[in-house]
Amino acid sequence: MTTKVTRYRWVILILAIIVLGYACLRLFDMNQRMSVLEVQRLSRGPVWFVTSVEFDTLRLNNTLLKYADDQADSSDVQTAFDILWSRLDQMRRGVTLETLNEYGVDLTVYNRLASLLETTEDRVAALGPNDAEQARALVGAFEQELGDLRAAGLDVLQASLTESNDIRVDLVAIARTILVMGLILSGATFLLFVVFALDSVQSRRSLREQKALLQEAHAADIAKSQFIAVISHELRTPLTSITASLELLKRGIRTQSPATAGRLVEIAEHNCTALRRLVNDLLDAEKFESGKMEFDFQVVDLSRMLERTIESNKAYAASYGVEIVSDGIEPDVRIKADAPRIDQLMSNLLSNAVKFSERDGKVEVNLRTDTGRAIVSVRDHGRGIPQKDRSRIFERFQQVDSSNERERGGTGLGLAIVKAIAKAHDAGLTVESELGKGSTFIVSFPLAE
Amino acid sequence: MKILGLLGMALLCLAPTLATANPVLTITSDVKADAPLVVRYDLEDLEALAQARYDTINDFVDVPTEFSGPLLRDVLAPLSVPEDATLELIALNDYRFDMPYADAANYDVMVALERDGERMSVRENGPLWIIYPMSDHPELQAPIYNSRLVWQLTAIAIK
Repeated sequence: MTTKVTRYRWVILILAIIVLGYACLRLFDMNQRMSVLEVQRLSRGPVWFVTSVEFDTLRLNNTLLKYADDQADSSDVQTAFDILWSRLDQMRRGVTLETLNEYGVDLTVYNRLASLLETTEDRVAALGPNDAEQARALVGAFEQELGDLRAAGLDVLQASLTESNDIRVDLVAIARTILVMGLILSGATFLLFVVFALDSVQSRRSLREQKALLQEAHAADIAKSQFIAVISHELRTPLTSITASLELLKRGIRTQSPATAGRLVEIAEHNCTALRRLVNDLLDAEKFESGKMEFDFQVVDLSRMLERTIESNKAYAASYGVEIVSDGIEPDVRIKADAPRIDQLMSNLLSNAVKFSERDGKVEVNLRTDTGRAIVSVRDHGRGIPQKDRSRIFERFQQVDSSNERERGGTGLGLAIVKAIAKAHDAGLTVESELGKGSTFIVSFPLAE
Repeated sequence: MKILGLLGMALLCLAPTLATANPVLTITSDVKADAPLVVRYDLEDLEALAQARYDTINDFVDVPTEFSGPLLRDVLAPLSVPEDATLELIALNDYRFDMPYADAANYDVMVALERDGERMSVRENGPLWIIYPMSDHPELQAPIYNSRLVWQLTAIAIK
């Protein structure tokens, strides 16, 4: 949805601009139409002219009647005559004539009135004292046109009203169109707002992801460098011992007592074992990582396995001046497992605990069952693991402190292998630790049915 | 303002229009409520003022037409009309229409005496016709300004 909206943002924008342009055109059109209404609202439009002509004709007649009754003089009559003339003349030219033609009104009566003015011009100019009869005769002549003038005036009024009405209908239509366009524009604006907001969120998110990836890559790079340094050290130390033992053997091959030669061979053998274990660890870690490790699950007696593993690691612990003690091993605890891998798991946990114990320290091993699970715990009394590092100690190539590793020895692969084996056995793996007091690693296997 | 007022009064005293025999234009002012001023012009008085002349179109002529006569602001000068005053233009048949004095101050609005060099009779919308320079100022070609072209002008009331 987001991608679609984002993809069509330009279409939405262009549509919004088109709608806006069309709305402007309609508004401009409306403004033009309004000017016609403005002309009608102001005086001196066509309606004003036709009404004025009728009114001025009546006024002329009225002045003529007053003249006949001696209440007005001839100049008043002449003025009224001239005003009517000018009004009629003005009505039949300029914008007024154009509008009247547009209305399609029959203008015959106005032409007739103009002719009447021309034919009576001399009689009006010649009006003298006591020309009452003449004045009344003129009144009669003009009166004959009044009915038609009224009818023509009403026609113009009707045409004007129709025009106003048409414009009003148009204006209502335009107003409605603009309302709809306003709604469309609001919708488009809202969509664009959403699109740009989503864009902004997306770009911020991808920036964060890039940053995290970069940090991860950097961390992996550092971890790898440390790993290589550790491995080189771990490889070189036993190799140096082996080389030195063999060198001594070679030099004293004739003079050495069998006991001395035997000790040198033992040292070389011990270091070969260490080397083999290291290489095995590396290969195992890689197999676990690529998912190529194969397991042979059988029901095994975990209690006996654990005791054997403790026994076989005692010598190793002693080399660090550490004692491994059994802190309660529940007998006959059976689980479904790959025995060599469980041995590897426990050995790794024990050697890890030994390495991080102080000299003359103790590593306590416990096995108990609880709600369908066999729970093994390995406890040391070392310096403990800081809270922030607890989650990453099981990661490959990750070490709490490489200098610490150097002091204690080890590749940093042991716990990663523990985690992989535990996972393959559907076992839980947790660590509890208190700085300065030690750590406890707990593995809980499902019991065999 | 005071000096202008005094000058106006002096002009009024000098002008022969107060006692003119055939007035064609009467201007009254009730801007000063206590002493309304009245000025009357006959055709000769109007001709004696500086004459403007220009061609213009409007809604009531078919082609651009030349009009000439004094500028309205000059005609009103003796009365010291305030900038914001309204002028009520009154025609021979008592037709009335308002225009702001600002039009006269800002544009060369004319009290036309002649059309195409000829005096205008009543039949030709004369003798006085208010004309705006619409050809020179297209913004004046609007219905409202055409309504202010009062012909057969006989009086102006300043309000």
